Amino acid sequence: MSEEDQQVPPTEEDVKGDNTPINVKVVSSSGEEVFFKIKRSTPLRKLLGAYANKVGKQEHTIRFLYDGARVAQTDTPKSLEMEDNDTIDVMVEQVGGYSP
Amino acid sequence: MLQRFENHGRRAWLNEHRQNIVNKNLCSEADQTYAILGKLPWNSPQFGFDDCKPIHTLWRTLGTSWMNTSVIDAALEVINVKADVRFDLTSQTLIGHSDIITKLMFFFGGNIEKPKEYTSCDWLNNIRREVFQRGKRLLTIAHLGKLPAWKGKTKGADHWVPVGVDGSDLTFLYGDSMCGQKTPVMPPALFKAFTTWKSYHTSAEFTMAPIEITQQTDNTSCGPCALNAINCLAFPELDELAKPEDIACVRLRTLYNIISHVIDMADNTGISTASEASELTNWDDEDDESQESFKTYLHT
Repeated sequence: MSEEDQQVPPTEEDVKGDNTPINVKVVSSSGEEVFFKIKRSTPLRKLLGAYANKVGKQEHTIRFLYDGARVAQTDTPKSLEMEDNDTIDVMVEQVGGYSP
Repeated sequence: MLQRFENHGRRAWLNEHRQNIVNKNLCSEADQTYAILGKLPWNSPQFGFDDCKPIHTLWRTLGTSWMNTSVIDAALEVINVKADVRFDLTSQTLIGHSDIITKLMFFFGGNIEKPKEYTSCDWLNNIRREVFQRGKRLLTIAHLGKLPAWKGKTKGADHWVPVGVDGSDLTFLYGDSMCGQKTPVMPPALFKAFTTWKSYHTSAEFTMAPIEITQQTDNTSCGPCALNAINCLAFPELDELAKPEDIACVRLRTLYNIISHVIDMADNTGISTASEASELTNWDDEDDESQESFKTYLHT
């Protein structure tokens, strides 16, 4: 299990108005946790990219799940009404057909 | 681009079925799918779905591609929407996405249970209330890739199967498109996850019940077989199990239904989808990285 505070690069919107950062816990399907501090208006695709980079995976092989729903590229903590210390689940994109 | 497309054979596959003079049903499904593909730009977002991925990411519905989580979940979501408009079904059945099983496996499928983490997972607790308190039937599709000891093997298989938990009939539901005439046997880890999950919320005894499913005759069709089985279970009066030779129809119908839902959602929200129609030849160019990883996947 790894626990680190990571800072996602701020966008232009971050400097405008009230955009207090929140802490987000990203949990892999095997339970490993990585902590990020992210502005409320930052698109979660950036967090996905930062997380993928951190764990050495390609972005298209994973996806985020928040409160049981898949996260869209354009979603932000604000649009999802996320709160401080909320958890995002990481799901691995699976393929299957059956191979004996 | 065209050459790459031909390599993957999706256009050829679709055109082949459009010209099928023997199987009229298949020909009709192919024509309808071809027509609806022309109504959307190939990179249009999937309106109405949580992640709004571009339409072209659905390429795994066609040809003989293995289906991935995105396709399976999009198709399950469409089934759920179909069920939502019928009160008799929504009061009894809950169609969930495949991540439900992944999370249950994480919480309860391993050697060490994780009750604390489970308790804090609100969305899964909402589902368990529906199933174990309100007696609903949860239907979804599980990926057996991470489940060991399936059919006596030590390594998991890349296989989609329909599963369910019926809080009314007190049954665990399981189907397998590769079990032949035998009764399907739920992998031990999945069974453990279900029984442990159940034991947290009820002391009632649950029994196993098989899900009827078409037996696949190739090594690519477990995804469509599982989707067809869930559809038939949810809407027994509307859908029937496909014959193995008609699995292509299931693939075409799956794609048609997803795109049809996207168009409906776009219409409802006033979003125009008529900018540039899909060029089917573009379907080879999308998701190249996934394509690569898929090829790698097949060869490892």
